[in-house]
This record gives sequence, C-alpha cells and structure tokens, in this order.
Amino acid sequence: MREEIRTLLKFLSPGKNVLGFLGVLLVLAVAMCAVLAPYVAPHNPYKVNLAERLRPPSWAHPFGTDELGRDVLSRVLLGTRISLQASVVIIALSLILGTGIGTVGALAGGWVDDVLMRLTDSFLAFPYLVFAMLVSAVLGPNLTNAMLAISITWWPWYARLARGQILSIKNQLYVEAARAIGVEGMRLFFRYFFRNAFSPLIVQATLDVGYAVLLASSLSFVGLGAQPPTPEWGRMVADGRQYLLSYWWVPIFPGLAIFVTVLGFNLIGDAIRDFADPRTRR
Amino acid sequence: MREEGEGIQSPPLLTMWAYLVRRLGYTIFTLWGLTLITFVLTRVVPGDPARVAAGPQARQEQVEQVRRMYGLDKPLWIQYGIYMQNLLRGDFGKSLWSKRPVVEDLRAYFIPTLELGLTAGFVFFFLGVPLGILSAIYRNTFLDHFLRLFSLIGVSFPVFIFGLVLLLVFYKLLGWFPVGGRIDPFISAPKHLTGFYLIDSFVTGNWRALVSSLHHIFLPAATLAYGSLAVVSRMTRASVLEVLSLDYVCTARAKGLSERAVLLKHALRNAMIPILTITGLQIGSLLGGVLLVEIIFSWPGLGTYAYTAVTVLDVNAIMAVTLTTGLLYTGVNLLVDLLYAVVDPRIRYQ
Repeated sequence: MREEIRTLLKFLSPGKNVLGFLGVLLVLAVAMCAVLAPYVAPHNPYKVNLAERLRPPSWAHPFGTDELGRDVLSRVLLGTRISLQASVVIIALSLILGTGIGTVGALAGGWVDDVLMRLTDSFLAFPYLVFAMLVSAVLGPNLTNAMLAISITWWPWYARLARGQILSIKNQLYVEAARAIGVEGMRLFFRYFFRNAFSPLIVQATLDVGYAVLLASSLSFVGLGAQPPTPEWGRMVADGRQYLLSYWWVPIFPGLAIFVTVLGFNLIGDAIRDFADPRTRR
Repeated sequence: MREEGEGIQSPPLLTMWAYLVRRLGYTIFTLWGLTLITFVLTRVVPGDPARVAAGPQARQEQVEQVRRMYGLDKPLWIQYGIYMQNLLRGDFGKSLWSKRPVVEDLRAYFIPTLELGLTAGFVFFFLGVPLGILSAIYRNTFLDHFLRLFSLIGVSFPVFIFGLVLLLVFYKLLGWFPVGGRIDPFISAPKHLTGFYLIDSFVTGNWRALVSSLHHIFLPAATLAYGSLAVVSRMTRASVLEVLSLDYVCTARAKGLSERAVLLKHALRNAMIPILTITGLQIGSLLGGVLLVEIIFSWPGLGTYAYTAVTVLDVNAIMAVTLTTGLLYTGVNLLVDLLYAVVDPRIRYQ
C-alpha cells in the first residue's frame, strides 16, 4: 500500500502529469482556504453595509460587494469551509450506508442479495438531483437535510462497488486459507474482507468529494440547502443571480469557487484513472 | 463468433425476445420500486402527511378533510393500495400553488422540457462521439490535449454556473442570443402538432417561428449539453483507444482495409457498448440538469414548475416531477439495454 502511494505521488509530479499536479495544487489551495478562512478573510462575511452595496471589485473588496454590502471575497472564503464540510459528511454517510448494504448483500447472497440489489437499482433509477430535491423538500429545507437527502440518493453507487469488491474477495484463496485455519466472524470480516475492499472504496469516495460539492450547491441553488445568510456557494449564486446582468461579480465569484473545487478533484481523478490503467500509464 | 454466421440465423431472434422480456421484467420491478420509495418518502417519513399535503397554511379542519380524502387515516398497506390506484389512473393529487390537478400542470410543462432535453441529448451524442474518435486518432497531439482540457472543464462546470456565464457573454456582452421563453413573444407559436416548436414549425414550413425557436433554444441546449458532451467524448476516446489495441483491429489492418473501414466498421462498433452505457447515465444527469437550466433561462418547463413548487414545498408537485423523470430515465435505460443487443449480438446469448 505504501509503495503504491509513493508511485502514485511520483506519477502526480509536475514533470509526469501536469494536469494531475495542477489538480493537487487546486485541492490543496481549497483545503487551505477552508482551514484558514476565518483568519484570512479581510472582512466580516455577515456584516451588512448598505452604503457599500453592489460595489465592483476593488483593492478593498477584490471580489466586490453583494446586494447587502457584504464582502464577496470573505463570503467565498468562508463558503469553502461550509462546502467542504458538507461534502465530507455526505460522502461519509453514503459510504457507511452503501458499504453496509453492499457488504450484507454480497456476504449473505441468495434472496437477501437479490432484494438489496433490486432496491439499489430502484434508487439509481431516479435522476439523482431530482430525487435529492424531493427528499430534501420532504425533510424540510436546510443544509443538514440537504446533506441527508444527497446521501440517500448517493449510497447505491458505493453499495454496488462494495458488493463487487466483497464478491471478488470471497473467492480468493487467502480467504479460504483463513477459514481453514479457523478464522471466523468479525475477525474474518475486518482483517480479510474489509481491509482489502477498503482502498478502492476510499479512492472513489475521495474523488467524489468534488461531485458532492456540486450536488450540495445545486440543491442550495434551488433553495433547498443552506438558507440565508449562510455564505454557502450555491446559495450565493442563487441570491446573486438577479444581479448578474448589471453586477456580474455577485453570482460569478462564488460560482467560480465551485468550479475550481470540482475541477481540482476531477483533475486528480483523471490522473488516477490513467495511473490505474497500465495502457495509458506511459 | 460472427464468422459462424449462417447456422445461427434463427435462434438469435428467439433469444432476442427472451432478452427483451427479461429486461422488461427488470424495468417493471424498478418502476414498482420507484413508487414504493416515493410512497415511503411522502407518506411515511413526514410526521403528518395530511398536513404536508394540505400545505403549511391549512387550517385544522382542512387537514382533517385531506386526511379523509386521501385515506390517510387508514392502515399503511391500504394507503399504499390507494396511492398505487391513484398513480395508475394518473392522479398525482392537487398542486398547492396552481390549485390544479398536478397531471394537468405536467401535461403543460412536460413537452418543453422534453424538447430541450432531447435537443441537448442529440447535440452531446452526435458531437461527443466524433470528438472522442478524433481525440483517439490524434492521440497525444495538440488536438487531443485541447479536447481533454475542454472536457475536463466541461465535467467540472456546474450547469447552473456555466449557464450564467453563457448568459453574461452571449446575451449581455455580445447580444447574439435572446433569453427567456421558447420563442419571440411577437411571433405566434407554430401550429400545435407534436408540441415541439422545432418540429412543428419545420413541418408546417413556418420559417420565422423555426428561426426564432432555434435562436431561443441555443443557449439553454448548449449549457445543458456541455457537461455530457465532455463525459461522452472522454469515454469514446478511452473506448476507441482500447479497441484499437486489440488483435482483430491489427488483423483488419493487415488484410489491407482502409483506415476508415477499420475505424468505422471494426473498431467503433465494438467500442460502442461503454459509450452507450455512459450515454444512458448522462441522460440521468441531463434530466436533473435540465431543471436548473430552465430556471436560469426562464424556459417554461418542468424545472421552472418544480422550482416554484420547491419554494412553497408543494410535495405533490415535486413527487410528480420526480416520478415522471424517473419513468423517463428508466425508459431510456431500457432503450439502452435494447441497443446493447442490437450493437453486440453476444449479449443476447447471456
């Protein structure tokens, strides 16, 4: 595992794979913003100042000010933290739910597996954004419920992946060997199944953080996620949309923040896919 | 397997039917799952579904009336029966804000959404596949790198932000395209045949309406298509590259076939399965994205409808939109499954 990570890091170095390296830089920058936001934000992101409303980008306000005179840069910076937190929670919840269901299906087999997999298929039969809209409308519009709603639409992907992993491990010789020497129960599961199935799941989950950011901000954009005055990116785009034609900076900067974050994760994902495929590794 | 040809001409037809029936069975099961999930979500998860159905402003006696009307005072399994009966009759209940049966609203908003979605689907498929092939042929050239960056940006651009950027550039700055609605308000809509403005105006020879509808659909369709175009072209590139490295392509080249024949007849057809799969999946994200795009470009479709429904938490209307798009998506996936069997005869034997 450690060896693999070292090769991967070498693969992501600027000389080998420019785009992958760029992705790493972007993600690191976004993560830095999330951690440092409260300390580096030039203004209070919640402070209303009507005298300064809708000012174009300047030295005092590099991203301009919004319809209530709040500093857009400070709000975007703080939004990084909110978006990343939300997406990590979304991914973690779906991962736990999906892995649980997929694993139970694969280990139990028979009709249990059939029922669980058909259920999974039914969840995947909804276009996920529409489905997430329904769930969060039922639960009530706020960020926590939006995160729950997205997890409920997202877990089937991990269920399928986990099931596939466990099924392939089930027939491995080392599992049979472990059984033969009397390993069973939880010990068998954690040491032999879980450990081996875990890394592809984690890789996939890490790459999905970008998509989770995208989905969460989409829900906020239609008004089902974060509520004002929370500086959540999707919400800021939604609230700033009506000012687009005269005061473009209000919706565009938070929009670009979403774009840069998702792009960073996608660049890494693309590089890793190349890395995993020996045909394109050269 | 293809060389064995003659002898197995008739059995494939039979297995094709078996394949079809099995796929249909799966589809029906999935649809049933869809109704079960929406039932649980709208009738079991909320503490008091009658209050949700009646709306947040309803008085207590109105809530009780709704409770009796929808049979929400009965046991759950009977409720599910009633729910299914209503759905099969096409009754989604009443919309809170339009006060009309949701089905009537759906009928009005469905066709514009379908027109926009199909146009975007057409664009991303018939542009994405050739771009992907080009990328594979001219691998590691400037064109390939450019297309790669172009598609990476496309995958990462949230549809609602890309729409805003296009709006800003092509409407505000350049003034090339109009925004809002499906057609210029001063041009009357084409005669109603299919409800698709593009088709209706073309068939009736109403060129003014055709030009105006094309003009209006361009930006929203481009916004919607870009992300999927990116995904499909990437997948095509990967799939074609993989097939090109296989032995039978080498054989085809060795026996002197033109590069064009090798590519179109031997490589592309075999590369088609993953491309179709990803296209089917993209239709799913298209069906979500179309809602956001409609909001941005004031396109009078399901998205605009759902958006208004969301702001008043009109669960009936949102549920209807969810079920309709789910139905549509399931239909598309069934179609994709059938296309697999057309493209790749081996699949029928499994």
